[in-house]
Amino acid sequence: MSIEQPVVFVIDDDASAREGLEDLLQSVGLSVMSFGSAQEFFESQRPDAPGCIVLDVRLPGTSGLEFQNVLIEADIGLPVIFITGHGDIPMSVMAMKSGAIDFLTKPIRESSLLDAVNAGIQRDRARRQEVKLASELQQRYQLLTPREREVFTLIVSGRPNKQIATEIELDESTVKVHRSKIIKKMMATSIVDLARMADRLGVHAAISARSKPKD
Amino acid sequence: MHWSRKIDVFAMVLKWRSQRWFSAAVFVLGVIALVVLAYAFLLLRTNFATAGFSLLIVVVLISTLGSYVNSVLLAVVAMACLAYFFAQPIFSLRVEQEQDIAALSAFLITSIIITGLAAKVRRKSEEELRDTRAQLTRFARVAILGELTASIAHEINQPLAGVVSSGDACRRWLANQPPNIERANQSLERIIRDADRASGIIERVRDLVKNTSNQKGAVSVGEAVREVILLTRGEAELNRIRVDTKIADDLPLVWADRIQLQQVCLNLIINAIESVKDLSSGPRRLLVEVEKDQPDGVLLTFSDTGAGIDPEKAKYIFDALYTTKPEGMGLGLAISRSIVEAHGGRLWASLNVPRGTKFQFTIPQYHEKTA
Repeated sequence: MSIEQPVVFVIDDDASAREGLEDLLQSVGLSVMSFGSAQEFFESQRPDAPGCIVLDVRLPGTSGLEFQNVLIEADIGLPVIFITGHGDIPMSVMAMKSGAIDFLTKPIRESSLLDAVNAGIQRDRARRQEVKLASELQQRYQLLTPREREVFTLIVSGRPNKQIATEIELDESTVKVHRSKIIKKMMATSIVDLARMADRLGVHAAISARSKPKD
Repeated sequence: MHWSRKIDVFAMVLKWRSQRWFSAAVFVLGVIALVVLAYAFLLLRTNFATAGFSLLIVVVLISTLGSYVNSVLLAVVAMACLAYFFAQPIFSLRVEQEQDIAALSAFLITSIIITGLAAKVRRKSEEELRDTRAQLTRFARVAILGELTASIAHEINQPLAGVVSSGDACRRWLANQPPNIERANQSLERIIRDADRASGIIERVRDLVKNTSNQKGAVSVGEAVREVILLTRGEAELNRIRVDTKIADDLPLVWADRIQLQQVCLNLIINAIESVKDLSSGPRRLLVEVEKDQPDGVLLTFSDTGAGIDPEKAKYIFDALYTTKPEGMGLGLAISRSIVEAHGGRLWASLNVPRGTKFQFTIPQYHEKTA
């Protein structure tokens, strides 16, 4: 897969601090978008690329922690690195608890900032990868016919073809055809792979009424 | 009586003394006292010397008020009384005996010397009063700055954060192969700009601490207020208070001591922050408005959404040493009011709608002739 150019979003109401950060991040080859307020950030057109947010906790209007909540509500998964001009410990504890990458005090050490930003970008890449994979799987799963989905569920629950055939009253050979179609459509390499996909999709074998042995 | 009010009464008397009607009244009273006393001594049939010394006492007392004109005139009047009532021929103003000449000289010399000494003492006490007031004002200013330490540190820290990041960036632009000179230059320019900004803040703080008194000049109120808001911004931020400013564009210059003007603003802003700070609910806001006052001058308004003032206590808030804050000294508003009044303005408080307090003061406009 192609590695997209990551973007760092700097949000700080103080022009000196903001421009300094922007410059530093650009000097290591990162793309930077900077904003003077949280509102500007939310109103902006952001590129669909991995990245992270570097945010001053004390923004006029909203506090950094409120901002984090809005991010979650708006379903923006970008990781956040908090920065502060006041060495304020209770705030940093709260920020870290709510999942911040790091909490840095101004003036910021170059190495800690770059480490945090890299960690943030990596985390976002992994998250985006995860999201992408999940949506691809979902698409593939949508291609299955209702009958195939039924068979799929039973296969990943570990039932042999014969049992599946009995349970849903089909020929064993038909089940085999379904099975190979499912593996092809889901682009699975093995039954184990298929089981992993089922996990991701949240597909679990329901203990259906039909699983009861027939007379 | 409260010590601060004593100072005020003293100052009031000083003010009266410089007025013409006060001197005239003293003169008239002096003449009446001398004539009545001389006539009484005549009825008592005392001799020339006793009467002379008694009249001298009156002349000395009046001389202590420090007006040369009054002293000389009353010495002459005393001499005239003596000549009229006691020296032969009685009931005539003729001055021919040597004792009359000696008495006149004694009256004149004593009154002039006493007047001189009294004026010297008074000048000194006036100077001391002025110094004490200036020191008290400065002391209060330094005390407020003490409360703002965290805020000021934050305000200096911001540009320093910029300097550090830009410095790091500059080093990286130069380390690039080939070095990116253009970007490195841009970083350097920002470093200089941010360092200037930091030193500007330090300079403003130093001005506020400096031991200057009464250096009046033409002041742009808008700019002075903006500087104060900058110094208190961190404090407001720390307490999650939103500060809005509305500064009119067409403000006239005012004739004021810039530092003292800023002191009043600092005081009112800090008071507002303190009253909003501990609110558990509701809006946390401070609005600073600077507008033209009719017919001339500038009106400054500081409205907060804080707890407001208890109407029962409203009449005490401008008294020295009255405070509602556990660590307050109760000097802020008293000094603010005396500063504003010394500038010919007015400072008052009212309720803010829907909640909180509104402090307002006016400063008269600068006219060419005021200078």
